[in-house]
Amino acid sequence: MALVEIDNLHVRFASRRRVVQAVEGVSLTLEQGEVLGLLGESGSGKSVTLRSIMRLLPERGVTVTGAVRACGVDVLNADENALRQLRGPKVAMVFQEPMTALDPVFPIGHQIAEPIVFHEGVTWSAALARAKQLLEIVQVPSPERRLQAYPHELSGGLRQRAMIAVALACKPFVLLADEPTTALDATVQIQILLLLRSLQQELGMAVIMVTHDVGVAAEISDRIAVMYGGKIVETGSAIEVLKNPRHTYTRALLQATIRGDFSTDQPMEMATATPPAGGLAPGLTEVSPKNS
Amino acid sequence: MSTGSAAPTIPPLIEARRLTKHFAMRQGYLRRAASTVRAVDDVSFAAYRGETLGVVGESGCGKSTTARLLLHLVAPDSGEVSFDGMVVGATGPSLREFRRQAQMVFQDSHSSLNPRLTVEDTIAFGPIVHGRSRAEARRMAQRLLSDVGLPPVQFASRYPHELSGGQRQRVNIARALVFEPKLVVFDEAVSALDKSVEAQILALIRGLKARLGLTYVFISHDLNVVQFVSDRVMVMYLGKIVEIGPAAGIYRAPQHPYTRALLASRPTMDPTRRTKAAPLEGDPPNPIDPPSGCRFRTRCPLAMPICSQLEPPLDPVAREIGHMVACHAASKVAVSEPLRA
Amino acid sequence: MRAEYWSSALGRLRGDPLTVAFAVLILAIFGSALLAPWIAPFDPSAGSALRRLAPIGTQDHWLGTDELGRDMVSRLLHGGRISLTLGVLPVLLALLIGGTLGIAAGFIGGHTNAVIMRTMDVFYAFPSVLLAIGLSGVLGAGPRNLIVAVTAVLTPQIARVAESVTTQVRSFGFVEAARASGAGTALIIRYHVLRNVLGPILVFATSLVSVSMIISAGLNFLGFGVQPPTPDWGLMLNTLRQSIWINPEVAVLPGLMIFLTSFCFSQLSDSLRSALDVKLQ
Repeated sequence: MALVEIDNLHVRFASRRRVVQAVEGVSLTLEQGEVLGLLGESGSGKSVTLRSIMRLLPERGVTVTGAVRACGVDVLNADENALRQLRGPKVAMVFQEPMTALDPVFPIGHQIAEPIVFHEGVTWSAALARAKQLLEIVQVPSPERRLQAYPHELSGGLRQRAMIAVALACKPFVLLADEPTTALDATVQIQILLLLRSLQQELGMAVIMVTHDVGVAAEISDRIAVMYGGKIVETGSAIEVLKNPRHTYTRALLQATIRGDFSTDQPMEMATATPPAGGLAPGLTEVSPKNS
Repeated sequence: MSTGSAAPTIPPLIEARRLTKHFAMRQGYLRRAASTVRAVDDVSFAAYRGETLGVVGESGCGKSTTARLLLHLVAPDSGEVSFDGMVVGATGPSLREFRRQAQMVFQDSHSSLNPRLTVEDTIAFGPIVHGRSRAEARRMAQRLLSDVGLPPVQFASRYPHELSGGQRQRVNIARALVFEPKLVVFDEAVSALDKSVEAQILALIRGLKARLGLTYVFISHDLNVVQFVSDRVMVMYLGKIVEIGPAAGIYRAPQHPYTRALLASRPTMDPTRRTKAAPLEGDPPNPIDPPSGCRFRTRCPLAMPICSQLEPPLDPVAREIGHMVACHAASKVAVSEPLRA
Repeated sequence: MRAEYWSSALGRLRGDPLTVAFAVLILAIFGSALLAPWIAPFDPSAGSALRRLAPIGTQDHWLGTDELGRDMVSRLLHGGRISLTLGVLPVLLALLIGGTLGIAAGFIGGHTNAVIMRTMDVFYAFPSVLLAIGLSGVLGAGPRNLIVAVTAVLTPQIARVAESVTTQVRSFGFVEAARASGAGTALIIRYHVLRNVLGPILVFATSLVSVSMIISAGLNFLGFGVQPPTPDWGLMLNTLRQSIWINPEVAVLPGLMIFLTSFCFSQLSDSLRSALDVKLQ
């Protein structure tokens, strides 16, 4: 059974002046132990889709229809209690900017231990011991000392590792990662990507990795879903999508991803400069292995 | 010496000599200097007419500070910059005159354009500063708008928040080009853009360079983009230049262990050939207390005892014209010659 | 530079019915005060022992008379001239002085900033009313000294806001870009900084009008500033105090005027804030 099932998801943001259809008819599944890359540019709806899995969307002005099931829980209709049990022990999230996602006034040991105490009811000292183990798992040097460090005392790479440790604290089945390496330097980014890959394999977690970077998706994904204008335009195994892209947008995206040894004369086939806020540009339809 | 000259007889358009900038971190009520950020340390390089010099490095390497030192937006602690052979400010062009000839395109942050000025007014500011009438400045602004692909009829009276990221960057470029400069420095100019938009902007600046005969210094953390646009590339680490040379040579055969690690850190595009191990461990260290001798030695796989004692100078790479590297291990010259102070 | 930014803000203000209502009210208050010498039915100093404390609705005296028999309508109209002046003038002066000091401190930074702002802090440390009373006491009575005292109270507040906003704006990318264009400090402030800081400063200053009116009224009430028989709403509150048992409706009228004017200014300052925010549209 799939760990995560999204069926015909629609998310609409309505403010006083504008209505934006952020996600339009998105369906995807995540099987146990697999890594799904959600690839798209800004405005494609990938982050919104990710957040809907844990129902992390704002309450006001947001209309959500469709069905989302995560670890057997009907997310969109669950009550507060069920959601709280879902977030942490079953599904956890890693964010892009650890400086804002981590609480600046608590040491990271405390922040890692907190969900353990909350969800499993153990004592703080037991939770802190587990936190130290988690810091070792995410390859933070001198973990004993780092337990008492505050987020601002750590470098970007260490902060991101700390955030991953927080996410792993309750041994979730599903890890949701929203561009976790975008804000990092190149040499650190590859470290974190490899860390995520090895953790995923060791712990048998399923991962959804949202990214705009084709390389990141290529490094870590088993399957890739490409999003544009709130819709999924292509899905398939990573090899299929990257080596034989079928949809015009996927092809254009791969072409636009500049690789230095790239010919400079190729015309860029992007339909618009930025993907439209809602709906596909005319002429683009979804492509998946089923309807080639 | 140490300018990475491709053809030593041609004078460079702009040359930086031994630029140094340290920032004091002041603490306490009396604002005593508690520690120093050695952002840029004894950096010398040149850019030649008509070329694009790419500058790469990770956070803390000093590339942005170097750009600002180059354009005298920040006063160096020591060192000098000469433009067209003459030292800026002293005997050569005045600062004001220099500003017309050397311009900067900033990253598209939320604050790179004045939110309360229309696009046209933002661009027209430059000419007004240099004495043009308002009407003439507006005409120039409109001409630049069409040069960068934003028809003035539609865009001149728009505000920045009404534009997309790519359009804002075009305005940034127009703002720099309205002076008709000879040199343009791009500081992470495409980093905040989507890939598709990035491609368009890069095509635009390529076209402008050819048409207007410009010289570029292109700063970016994105190695692929730098390779795409640059003729020569300079690699920085912790305030020093570690390698400089023709782009093809650097990307094909990087000599410095840091450059090699940096290039190897790019994620693969091929899911069947994934990266097996991270090329470099640990985080980039703090420019507040850089390691003695070679600053990279704490993370370097080739570190030798001499690396902690002596800073490696920029030496030519054998059999590669214009390619210089600062590394005791890579530079065969340093091994066989007596140590220099 | 086009005045488009301000004119579009004006357009937004015009479109909001509540704002228009308050603006009309303010204009009516100001207008009637301005025209007082021509529209007041009676001489505000002309009293009559016979017609003391007539209630509201008395023939000839719609709003009654005060304890000396002077017509309330006339006194309120004339009093408005004084009270509104004492309310608005200190704010204008404080805006000029405090605004300049704050923007300079914010943009130049360093020692200049420290000198200016710490001086402002000395004044800011005192509670406003106490400071005003203290200064009035030192300077002596009379409307001119009152204006000086209230201006001195308001200037540090405006300077603080101005400095804070300017410091923020100074760190923005377009300021660096302007410097890269070769512009000098004065030009950068005029072209780039002012239009970004004047909005918030103006909004804050508008909200100070009500404060200024109330402090001035209080000082007049206490006997500093304006002296009888000059009509002023604050002073009238004092002299009508004893009559509150006999004719309470008349006694509260000056207070009502102060309240009404202050309230309108507060609302207008709120509307101004929303209208000037380019991005909220």
